Amino acid sequence: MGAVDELLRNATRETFMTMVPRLRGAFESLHERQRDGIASHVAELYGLKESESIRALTTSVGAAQLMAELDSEVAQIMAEWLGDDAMGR
Amino acid sequence: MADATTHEQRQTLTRWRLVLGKSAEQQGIGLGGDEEAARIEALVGFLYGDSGQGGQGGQGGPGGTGGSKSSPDRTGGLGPGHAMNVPRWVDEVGQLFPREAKEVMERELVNRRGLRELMEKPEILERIEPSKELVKTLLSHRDLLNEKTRVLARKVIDKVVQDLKSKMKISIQAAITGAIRRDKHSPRRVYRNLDLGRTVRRNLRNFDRDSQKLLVERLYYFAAERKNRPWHVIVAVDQSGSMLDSAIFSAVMASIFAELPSVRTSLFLFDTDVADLSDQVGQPVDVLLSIQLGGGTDITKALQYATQLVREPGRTIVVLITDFYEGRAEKELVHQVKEMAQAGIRMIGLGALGYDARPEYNRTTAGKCRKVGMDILSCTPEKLAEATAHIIRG
Repeated sequence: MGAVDELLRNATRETFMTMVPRLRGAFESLHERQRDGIASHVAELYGLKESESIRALTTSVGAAQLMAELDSEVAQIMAEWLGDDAMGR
Repeated sequence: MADATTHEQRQTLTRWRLVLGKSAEQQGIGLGGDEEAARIEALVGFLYGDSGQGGQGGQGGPGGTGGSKSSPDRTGGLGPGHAMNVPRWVDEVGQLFPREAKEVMERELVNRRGLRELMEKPEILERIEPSKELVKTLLSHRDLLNEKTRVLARKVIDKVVQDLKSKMKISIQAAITGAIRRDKHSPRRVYRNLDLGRTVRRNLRNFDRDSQKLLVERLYYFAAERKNRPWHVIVAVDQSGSMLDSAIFSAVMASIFAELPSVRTSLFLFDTDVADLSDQVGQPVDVLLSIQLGGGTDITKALQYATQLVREPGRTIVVLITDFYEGRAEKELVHQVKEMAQAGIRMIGLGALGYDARPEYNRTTAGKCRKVGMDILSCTPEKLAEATAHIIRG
């Protein structure tokens, strides 16, 4: 989560445009409930709603695994772009 | 946390919305009236057209259902009233996204939105970036092509084949020629060494009916020191769907071999039957378009056919590209390999040929073939060339 947020915050337009299809694809592969959980978390982070609790993301083992996969996907994208020196200056 | 007030925070939230999809709007994460974001959403959302009905504040993705709800910030690049369709999508993606992203999205489009539109509409096909994946798609759904798209499909395949060929050619030629004649790497253009038969044969497709003239694009020469009889490379390609990747590389590779003056190249495809394409070996596109996927596999029969082509066992290399899932009894295959090996024919069995190949072949059968004399590899075209060169050097 934090990693994705950082990525989204720092990526240049070009970088973001390159990764948006892959990221969207990765999130689309999650279950809707998990996606909602993340959205809710983001909403809290940006003060769009009151904080509920931190349980949202740890619903099941399956979800945790998907999140881990998502994390590694993001890590990979970040590594690629950091390597290319394409992240924010 | 602070309200999402700063420009940077708004931008990050917009990006979150693009990445999470329409359902994020239920949490108040919208596109924030960003025009470009709305365009991006229209295009990315098109791939996932069913991403639920959105809340307020966002762009009703024109993808799929086109369920547009009026919203105050609707100023998307597409503007209202533009229903998204595949041709427009391909165009806009090309304009807006970097090439790498474009390829990812096109792949997703083919996967998600079905192929029919792609295969039936030339205006779509001609805008898609030619890639090996696209070639595989075209080859495996050839029956969906119509007259117009077939012509385009050919162009796409040709482009990809040429790219692969230029990538592979130099190292392969160097390996083989190096093995055959270590002193010289290119045949000299000496007129008395002109290979007239091959020159005419290879240029036949340039015959101009109107002027009744043969336009010679390229001359073929025998190598000056050509004392040795040529090596004969027989390439046998399994037409199983799983071998399609390898088949593409094999066809390209065979066409490179075919250009070597000191190698004679035969090429055939097989399932339970054999289709000899040796006369088309210089035209890998034709070879690929001859592939008929499906059907069983009779590797034994293929090897028997290869044996018939052999003139000089000691100077013949049979390159067999297959997943080693033999349709008939394995015993017969092993027996066939053994006979050929005893006759002195060299055999290379390839479970996969390519750069990112994930070999999925029957290792048991392959292992048994190895025991009776077949080299078993799974490698890149360059490695195969090296292996071939190694055999030639003896």
